Amino acid sequence: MNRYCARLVNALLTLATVLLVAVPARAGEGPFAFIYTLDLQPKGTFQFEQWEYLQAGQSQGDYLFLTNRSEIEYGFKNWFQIGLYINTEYTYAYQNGVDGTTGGPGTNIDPNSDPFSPYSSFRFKSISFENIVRLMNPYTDAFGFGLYFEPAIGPYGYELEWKFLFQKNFLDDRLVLAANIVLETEQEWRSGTTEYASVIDTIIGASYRFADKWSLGVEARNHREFSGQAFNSPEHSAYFIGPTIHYSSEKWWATLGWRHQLPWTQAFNDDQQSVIVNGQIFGGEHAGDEIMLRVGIPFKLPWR
Amino acid sequence: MRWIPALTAPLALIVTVPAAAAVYFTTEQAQQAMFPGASFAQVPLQLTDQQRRTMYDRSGVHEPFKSDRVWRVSTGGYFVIDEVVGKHERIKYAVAIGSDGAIKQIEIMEYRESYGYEVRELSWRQQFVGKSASSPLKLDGDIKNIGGATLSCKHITDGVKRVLAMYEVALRHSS
Repeated sequence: MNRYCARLVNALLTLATVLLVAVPARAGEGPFAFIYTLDLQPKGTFQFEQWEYLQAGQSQGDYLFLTNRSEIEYGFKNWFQIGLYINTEYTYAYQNGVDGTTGGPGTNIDPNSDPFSPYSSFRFKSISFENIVRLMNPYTDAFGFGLYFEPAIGPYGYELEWKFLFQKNFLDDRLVLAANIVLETEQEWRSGTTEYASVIDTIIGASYRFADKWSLGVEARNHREFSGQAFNSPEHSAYFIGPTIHYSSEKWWATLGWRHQLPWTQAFNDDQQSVIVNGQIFGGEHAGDEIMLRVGIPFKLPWR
Repeated sequence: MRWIPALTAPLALIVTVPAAAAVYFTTEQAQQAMFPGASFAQVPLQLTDQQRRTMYDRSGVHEPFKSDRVWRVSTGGYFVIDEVVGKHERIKYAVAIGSDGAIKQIEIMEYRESYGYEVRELSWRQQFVGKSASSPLKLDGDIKNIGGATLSCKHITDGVKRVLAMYEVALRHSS
């Protein structure tokens, strides 16, 4: 991580600190770790949100890939929320590849270096701009429906992400069923090459508020990756599932989720097949486990 | 693994943000605010399964209704306390029902949500005055919603409808 990036992250956190100690809190948050719901920030309110997304474990060796997202969200309208993220990454890998070499998602290894030596890096990844429009409200309409669009750009590539958000509540809104269909197209510059990819993710989940402030749920993901930026030809399809626990109060909330990669991966070419071990795909694509911690602290500007 | 001290800052903030209680009325305070100078006799109400089913059918509220929070008022009418689900905790509110079976007043007694405090405003609560068991009591119908407070508006509206259904099936003919 260079000095400029460190200053940028610290400046954002300092800004959040100043705002948070000065004003009363307001909030809008969903009970899932990975799934977006249609609980948006009320008009004129802000929220600071920190994501810590850890991908851990490949077929052998050591592998950790931590994505940090620091975000300020703002309710532009009651039905329209915007957000600005700063994304950074920490990666540690050591002889984790199927062939015993060092690599994996998040690594940016010089092709001329020793492929068996340990690798670690902390780097600024990108800035992204989130937009969520709620077209149907799950509290007043038959079900909730919304659209999400997020462009991201940084020194190692760019991404465009679209999501279709669905939500249906039951039992006095204690039980939340939600689904996201995610379309993503990206261009990544690493290890001296440019990679083009596109992704279709389908994420579904259920969460139940079993006590005041506490919800427990489950989230499942099917991830389908394609070569090229226009969903050109399928590369692989992988499945993840795991539990989520959510705590929320007037002043802050936190959600912890874990997804494990199931041994059901399908590869659609020889390259992808070569990095599948016991039904799980690794290589430059995935880890065995995904852990997400999200913490949200709503706030309101003191002069509003 | 090398830890980045800056990333721990949000966790430190969480610990330092103070909590705020939001109890606006005790039972006695709400009683005197809604029926000044009256005395109150608790009603030994025991709802049958059929009565509870009717209350659910009319309101759609699953949260259990506590039947030990109903009082007969010396000047006529009933004072009822109920709770509905909020975003994080339950919302406690009181309903004053006049001797004619119509709502005289509602008050929010406890509210601990991050937002939606507009439900305490008189202009919103005033919409319930005069409503009876035969009123639609539907959000975005005869009760206006407040943007950014939809969940609270919806649940309180449904809760009041259930209280009126309870009055209709259990109290009206015992007056």
